[in-house]
Amino acid sequence: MSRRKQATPLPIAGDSDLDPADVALILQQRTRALAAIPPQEEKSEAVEAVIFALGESRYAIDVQHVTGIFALEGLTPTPCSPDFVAGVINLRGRILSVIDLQRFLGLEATPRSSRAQVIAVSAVGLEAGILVSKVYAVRPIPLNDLKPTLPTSTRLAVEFTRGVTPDLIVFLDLEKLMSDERMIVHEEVR
Amino acid sequence: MPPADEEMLRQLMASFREELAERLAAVNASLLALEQEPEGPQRGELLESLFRHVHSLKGAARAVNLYAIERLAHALEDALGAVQKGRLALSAELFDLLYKGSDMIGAAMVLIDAGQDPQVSLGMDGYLERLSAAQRVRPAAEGATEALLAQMPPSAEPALQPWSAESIRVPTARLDDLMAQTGELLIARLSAEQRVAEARRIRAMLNRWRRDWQRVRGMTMQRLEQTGNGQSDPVLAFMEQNQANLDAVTQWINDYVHHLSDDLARLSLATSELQEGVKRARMLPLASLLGTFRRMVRDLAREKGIEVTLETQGADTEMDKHVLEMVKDPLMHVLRNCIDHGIEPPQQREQAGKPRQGTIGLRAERQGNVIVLEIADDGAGIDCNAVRQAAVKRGILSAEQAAELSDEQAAGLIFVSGVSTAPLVTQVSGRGVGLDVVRQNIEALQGHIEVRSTRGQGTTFILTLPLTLVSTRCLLLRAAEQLFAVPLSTVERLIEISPAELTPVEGGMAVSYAGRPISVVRLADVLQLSSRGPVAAPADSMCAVILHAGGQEMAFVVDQFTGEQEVVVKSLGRQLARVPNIGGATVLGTGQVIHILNVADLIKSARSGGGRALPPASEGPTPPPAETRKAILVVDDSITTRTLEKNILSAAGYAVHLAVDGEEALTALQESPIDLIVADIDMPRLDGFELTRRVKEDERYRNIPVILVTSMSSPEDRAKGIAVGADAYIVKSSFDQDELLDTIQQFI
Repeated sequence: MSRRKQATPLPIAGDSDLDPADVALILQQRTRALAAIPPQEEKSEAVEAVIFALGESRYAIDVQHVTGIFALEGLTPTPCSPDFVAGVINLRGRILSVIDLQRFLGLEATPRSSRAQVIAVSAVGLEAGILVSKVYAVRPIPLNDLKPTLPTSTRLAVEFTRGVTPDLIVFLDLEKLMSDERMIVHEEVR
Repeated sequence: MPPADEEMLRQLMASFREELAERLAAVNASLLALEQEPEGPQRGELLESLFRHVHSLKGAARAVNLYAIERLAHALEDALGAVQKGRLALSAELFDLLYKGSDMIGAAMVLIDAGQDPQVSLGMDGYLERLSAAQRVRPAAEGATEALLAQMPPSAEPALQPWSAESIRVPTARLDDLMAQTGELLIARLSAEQRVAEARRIRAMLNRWRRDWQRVRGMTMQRLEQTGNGQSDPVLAFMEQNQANLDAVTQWINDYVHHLSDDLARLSLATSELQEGVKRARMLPLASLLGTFRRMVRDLAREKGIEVTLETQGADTEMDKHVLEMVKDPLMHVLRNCIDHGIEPPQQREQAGKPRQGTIGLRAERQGNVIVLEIADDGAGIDCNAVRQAAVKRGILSAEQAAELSDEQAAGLIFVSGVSTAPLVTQVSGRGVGLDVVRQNIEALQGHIEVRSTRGQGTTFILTLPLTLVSTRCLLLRAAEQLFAVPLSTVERLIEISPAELTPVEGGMAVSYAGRPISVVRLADVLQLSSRGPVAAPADSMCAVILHAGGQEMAFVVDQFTGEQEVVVKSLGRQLARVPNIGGATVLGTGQVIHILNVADLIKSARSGGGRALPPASEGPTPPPAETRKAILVVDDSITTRTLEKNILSAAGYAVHLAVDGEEALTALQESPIDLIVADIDMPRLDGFELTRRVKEDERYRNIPVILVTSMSSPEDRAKGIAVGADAYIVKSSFDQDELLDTIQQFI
């Protein structure tokens, strides 16, 4: 508003020697200026994401997949399962399997005891919990600012990453992760 | 199409599908009944019912614009109308056409749902042509017309079904949700039981405290009064006050425990009633499967040229819908077995003094917490000797062991994979993989199946199934310091083993139980867990549980048993779709999650070396058994074929010996142990048939399976193959690697 006001020079109030036609003209100009739709600001697309820590690094996943975040109480390890399956927990009467993402992505694993929170996610019809050490916040991540992954990441991590933010948060593609065939454990005994 | 209309069409289609399913089932049932007695007293009624259903279906199909189904229904309606008016006779061919029409309608619906055009894919035009041709050619006799005209329906209007306020359709998913919620209630109840137990402990402690206090107070007060210490008044006052407090608190806690117990009792009762109620809501009568069964029996019997009738008793017995769904396939398989191997052809039956028509009786009865299903046929019965031989051939038992089995035990062998009494393994039948899958499926439902048979008189299969699957009684045990649960139905016995009782057997250790040897393994080993604590010294006696599944049993050593409990079985979710050895999980009253073990898997894993051999009482770990590769003798005069077969077999891990003809083969047999022979027929000096005959006549080699691979495919050659005792016959023109390997795998 203030900018528009500056654009139209205003006569100082009390100026009496303006003839009515001029006043009318000024008022019209003001009306037009006020009625004009302000120019749109350049909006970049941003995705709301949950930021969390796995070991030393920070990661983010799209909040639309997150169904809950809670402290880990009592993890039951599941024997005879791949090592990225940390175990199962009881979530309001249902059994939720808990995934160790570092092991799934082949990253250097931090000790499990330091991981104290679980992010429950649901994507592509699968539900699971992700074991994390700390959950920071939920905030929007602008997609335009994402850069491709760092060359030091493992091949697997690259496959499931949407990009890295300027402050080095790795934005994971959860749908791709959960769709990976290795994610569903299906092994028969022969 | 506007969204409201789309939604309406979707709902219309949903109710059409339901109506279609119901009406087709009713049509099938009526056709079956009519076929049994085409001129019986119920003819008019059945025809009327058939006409009505088909007519309504036609109208309904038109309402949802399914032209193909409308067309089929219309054609059936015309045919049925012609029968009612006496213009068409109910011949066997007509019945076949009517059944086909009903099947086609069902198939059309499936195609429509898949987005295809049924008119093109089903060959509808051809069928409709045949149906109308049948109507043109069959005028009924003159006199019969009058009688049949009298049976004409009063009008073509379908009778309106009165709207019934007494029942309501509920989607199964909604009942499943309710079921899950009652499962939660069960956990809450278990939790409440814990609280009551804790409250009782608090009360006990308070009582002890109060008694101690009373005693001490009594002594102290006496002493204070004796010493006459005036300054003791505050102390005395405190002691009195304390006593009063303790009395009050114990009274409160007493009341609290009473109220809590009452509440728990009420909660328990309400939870049980609710659970029972929901379980019953999910129950359907066995009769709902009968339509499909009768139809299958009819079709199969016609195919095999035998006459069979299916009689049922107790078809109104109700079972949990899920159990019913899971038991449908095994039951169909057993019924098929009765027709394939049980009921003899009509002439054979007459010669044996039996009625031409065989009877299969399906009887269902509820006995307490289980349902007992009996399928009895009055057919040929199981040939126990043939079964024994088949088992010996398959290498499951030695000839001596087979001879030792009673007839009942021998009959039980039909449930073992690979045992088949068909004389020859061909591309299609005789593989013997049906009944073992049936048993697996029944046991997965925590049920049992057994068989009884009398040669010449018949066979009876007896299935026992639990009434419900929601909660199961389990044994809780600890292994590698973790808690696990095992369904009580798989537990044979809990035993204690002292190291002296362990005897080494091939591949591991065993213990003697009830006069038979049972393999012993450590549960922690099978689950690939290592104990974090100190390993129990071999000198201590060990706790073990004998578990059984799939007709096999094994003893598993555990740390300790912690109790028995009814638990709510929960699946591990879709991400952990199938984990070896783990069957599910449950939440204990404490909130702790423990895994429920899959006993069938455990036994298989232990067998394949998942469990390390237990150390014998004397020192030293047992060395792992040496790897023995099976040896196959390939006999063929063509060097190309020999090389080809040798390559395929070595790549599959077999040790291959070669011979150019029968004579060399016999020499090779003497030189080294051979597990299986693959032979050509057309060879110089000694051909395949002769070789087979000599091998089977020789006591030393009789049990070696012989597979004849040949380009000769005539029935006479095949018959000759059976006559000399070959175990399998593969025709070279259709030779493919996998088939040879598959066939070999069946024998060794």
